Amino acid sequence: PDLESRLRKFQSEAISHIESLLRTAVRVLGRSQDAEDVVQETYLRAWRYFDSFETGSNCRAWLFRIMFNVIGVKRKKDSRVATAPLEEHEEAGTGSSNVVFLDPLKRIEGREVLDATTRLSEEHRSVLWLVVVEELTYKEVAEVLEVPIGTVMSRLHRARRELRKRLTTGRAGGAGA
Amino acid sequence: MNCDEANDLIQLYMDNELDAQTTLRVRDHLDLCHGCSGLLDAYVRQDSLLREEAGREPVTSDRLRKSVIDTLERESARPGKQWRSLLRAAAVVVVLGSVLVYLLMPDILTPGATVCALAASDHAGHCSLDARWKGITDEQELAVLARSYGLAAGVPDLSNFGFKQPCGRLCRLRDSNYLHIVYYATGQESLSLFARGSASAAGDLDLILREQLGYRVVIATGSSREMLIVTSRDEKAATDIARTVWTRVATAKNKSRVAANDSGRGFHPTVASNPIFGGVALASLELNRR
Repeated sequence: PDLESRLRKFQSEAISHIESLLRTAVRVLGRSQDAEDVVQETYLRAWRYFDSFETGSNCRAWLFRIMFNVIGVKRKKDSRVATAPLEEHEEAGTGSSNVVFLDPLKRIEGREVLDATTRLSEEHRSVLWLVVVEELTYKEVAEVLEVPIGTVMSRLHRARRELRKRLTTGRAGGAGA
Repeated sequence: MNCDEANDLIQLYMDNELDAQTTLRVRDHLDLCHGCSGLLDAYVRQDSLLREEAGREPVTSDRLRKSVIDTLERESARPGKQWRSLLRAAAVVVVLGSVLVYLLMPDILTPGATVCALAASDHAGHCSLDARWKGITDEQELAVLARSYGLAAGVPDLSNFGFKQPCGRLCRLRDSNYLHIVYYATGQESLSLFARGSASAAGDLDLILREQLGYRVVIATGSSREMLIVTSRDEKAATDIARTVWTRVATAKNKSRVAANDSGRGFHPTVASNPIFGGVALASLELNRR
């Protein structure tokens, strides 16, 4: 019964974040199979260390921390895991209604912004994703990635700047669909 | 506040990471500066686009969710089988422990060689348990630590041997604290460098090569420092690496203060202990992971 209630508690607290973890892993690693393997290993470890997790604290951030640890180990053991910018593996979508002017003369689609992140380094891509998409605080991101908070700030600063530069340079004025 | 300062703070402002006073200063500047407020708007829209598009991206997790739950249920089910697994693990630990004692016995009786054997055991343990034990990978932090442990020129660069991504921890071998740096390499086993300042290690470089637990261990002493290199490479490569490391760490005049290892006043409070049977403890930890 103790084991059952522990499992129920784990499922209710931790399993609900599986989509966030999977989505982030796919974006960081670039391969769905690698991402699923990483998420599976993350939950195994989380289950084993669940007793050390303080109820009421940020479970999602805790899981992200485990996951990035798993990614770090996988990176060391498998040279195929990309750390540099990913190749574009998806074509930019068409007909997206998510269109906003990032610059008065340019027209950027949401899909382009997402695809442009694949051209960032893994370090920059990870921080950008965790802050902007997963909405973690700088402090949480620093704990997840096990880097100083200053490193988070500088990587995020550069990531956003580089993303904007990639989206707004080399485009003809007024280019659209 | 000028535009340069505002540009540096704009992202912190939009992420609500500034203190109240600085937030007001940035806001005042944005109210007056069209250029900077335009930049803020651009970043806000860029983030918003990314967030919205990421939210619309299909992520199939049902199969994975079921797979994870099935795995957890299998992991936690059938306690009887778990006990049998534990007993099997315990039996293997006893056997391994006996083998290790047999292998280490000659070294236990010879003090110098014991440090060598412990270094080899620690190398094996850290390599396999890397995921669990936090190490220092930040370059600056590691460089400061290295200089406190006899590596006057900081962390040696071994990239020409294929070893990169140094990761450091403090370890205790017999009675002294060492800085243990693990270097990783693609396609080959990692390499360990143990270093400490040692007032008793005077004079020119003295190199000794030993074999421990299937690894080559090169002990280098002299110039008030002691280093051990543990690697699975052959004797010649191990010696070449040791000489290279020695040359590189001695590039700066050795101004490093001798770390008060013997008195226990180390650089950082966290030190992984490595008793005589450290290899056994590490092996049991490895078995119990699965």
